[in-house]
Amino acid sequence: MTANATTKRLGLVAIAVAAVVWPFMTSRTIHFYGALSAIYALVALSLVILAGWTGQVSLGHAAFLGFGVYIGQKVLHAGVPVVVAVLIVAAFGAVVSLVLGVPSLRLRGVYLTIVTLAFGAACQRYFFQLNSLRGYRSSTVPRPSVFGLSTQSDRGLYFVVLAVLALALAMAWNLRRSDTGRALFAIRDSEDAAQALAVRVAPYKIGAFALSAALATTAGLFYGMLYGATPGPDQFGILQSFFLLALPVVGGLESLAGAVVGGAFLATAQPLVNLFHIRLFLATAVALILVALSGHDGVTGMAKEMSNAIADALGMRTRVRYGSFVPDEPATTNGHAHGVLRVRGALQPGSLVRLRIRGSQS
Amino acid sequence: MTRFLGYVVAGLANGTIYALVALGVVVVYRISRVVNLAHGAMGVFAAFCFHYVFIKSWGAPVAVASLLALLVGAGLGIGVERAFVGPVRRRGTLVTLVMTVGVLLLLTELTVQLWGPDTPPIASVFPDKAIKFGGTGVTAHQFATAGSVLLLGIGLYFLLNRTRYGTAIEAIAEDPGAARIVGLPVRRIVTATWAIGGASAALAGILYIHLNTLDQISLTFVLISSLVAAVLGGFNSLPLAVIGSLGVGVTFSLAQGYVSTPGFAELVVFAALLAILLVRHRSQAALEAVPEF
Repeated sequence: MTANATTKRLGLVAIAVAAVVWPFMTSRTIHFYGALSAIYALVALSLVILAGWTGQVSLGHAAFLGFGVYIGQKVLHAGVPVVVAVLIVAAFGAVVSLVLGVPSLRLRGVYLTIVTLAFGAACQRYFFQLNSLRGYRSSTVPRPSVFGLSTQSDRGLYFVVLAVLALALAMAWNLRRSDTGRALFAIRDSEDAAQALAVRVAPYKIGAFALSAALATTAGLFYGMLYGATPGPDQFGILQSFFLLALPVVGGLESLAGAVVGGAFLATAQPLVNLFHIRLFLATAVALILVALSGHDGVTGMAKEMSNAIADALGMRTRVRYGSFVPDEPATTNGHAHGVLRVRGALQPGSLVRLRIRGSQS
Repeated sequence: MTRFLGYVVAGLANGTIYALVALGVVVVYRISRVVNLAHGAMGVFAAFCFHYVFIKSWGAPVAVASLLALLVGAGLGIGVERAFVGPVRRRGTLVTLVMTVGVLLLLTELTVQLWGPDTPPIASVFPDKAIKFGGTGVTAHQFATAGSVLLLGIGLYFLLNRTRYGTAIEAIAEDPGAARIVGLPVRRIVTATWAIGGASAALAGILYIHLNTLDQISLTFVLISSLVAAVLGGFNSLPLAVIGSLGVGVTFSLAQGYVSTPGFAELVVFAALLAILLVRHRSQAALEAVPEF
């Protein structure tokens, strides 16, 4: 493990400790925003996977959030434990996403954006108006305990969402390092090139959308729990979908850190913009446009470039990274490379073996 | 049967506004390969300028105010292209789409911030006198709307298919680099097309909000239906987009007339979009990546 990786891990541990410790040192009103940040971070993560990694824009994520709230409320009222409710709600979101994704994502282009827009409109004006789906006005959402941890307080709920977020981040991190992640990036950068490399484009895009929708509906379940009631359908309209898209864009569309930063940033922006009597969505729109014009990958992208520039200026050598991402730690070989190449299954003529050797940069 | 016919006529009248929006979006898309999601918001902004600035503050006559609103729309089109969409277009479809979403959110919220959340009934150049038509009343305003859309549609069709300007647009859509080499002022033509798109958005805004005093996001709902209609023509064909829009209008009207559930029309349009996409063959999918300028 290189020194760089050690500092990185220490930093991660420090962030994890801080995320757990801070609620014990602050007042109750702030816990609400903590929980909201974690929920928004989940939504932002779902959009990072879809837009940042696969290159598809969904403008119906508020509808998925709404489905999470309404379906989640029904499931929780039925006395289902939260852990199971998460699975049910996520599966529901994934199934709905297939209805949208299969017709639109098998084609190339921005059809997904248009389908999700129409879906958002249909949800806002039709599905969420149905009393059988929504329940009646201001239905309460129960907040059952999770593994003995009470979620009655916002702090308890925050810890639960934090755990779910950590799981989702770990899953996304692994997905990114896997062949599936590489295929997604290849599709994002060029569908032609991906196809030429025998990547079946449509299934990957549909799968990424399903994963994204599942995460968004899961976030919806907790959103409902946080508010303790089911908000009206206009809370999950198309305008909200535009707002949700701004979360990862402002944070950084490609990185997991961007999702967390973007979520926290816009969850806590409400009290801030209230001071200036500006509408939250107006401030968000300005931030979104500025970030898009700047050409950087959101706040985290800017921070990364800045730290790289500082490291360069100080003469510290930074590791050169090729391509969009090189996730693994470089192996130290001391000039002699030895390792074992393990092959699962039989090698036959025509089998594909991939081996990648990089030069070390001490 | 008279009831049915009445719904059809009312639907066709509304459908002309969907057609107007679809025309604007398709014309802009054809030249710049950008689906301008801010189209509806541009129309609303121009319509609110029309009402609050030109009529309320300046006391301009309705006809003058309408012309000014069209200018505002054209200015918005130029501004959005020059300041927001143009600079990021090279960086791909994703960033461009995100940018139009940003502009949409900005204009919608700016409308609310500047003039409050009220949605006033706005004036129209054309009288509201009802014209009896098969048992239902269609107002002169609606007839005039249909007429102006028809005129604009025919005008655009001739502009694109019979003039040098149209040939230039075709050339730029085909290959911007080659178009520049043969001496076409590519940037200027792109900007001019966005101006046309913006003006058509403003026209749709003042015509639509006169009929329906709805909130600031309402024209974006219209835009969604128009996008569905445009998808029918693969974002390329003006006649198909117009036919699709009229179809959407009639569908809306029938669904609203016969099914009392609110929002049933949105559901039908959504389902129709899924059906259109399901039967579309992969090779016909025309929405492709942004070309380099």
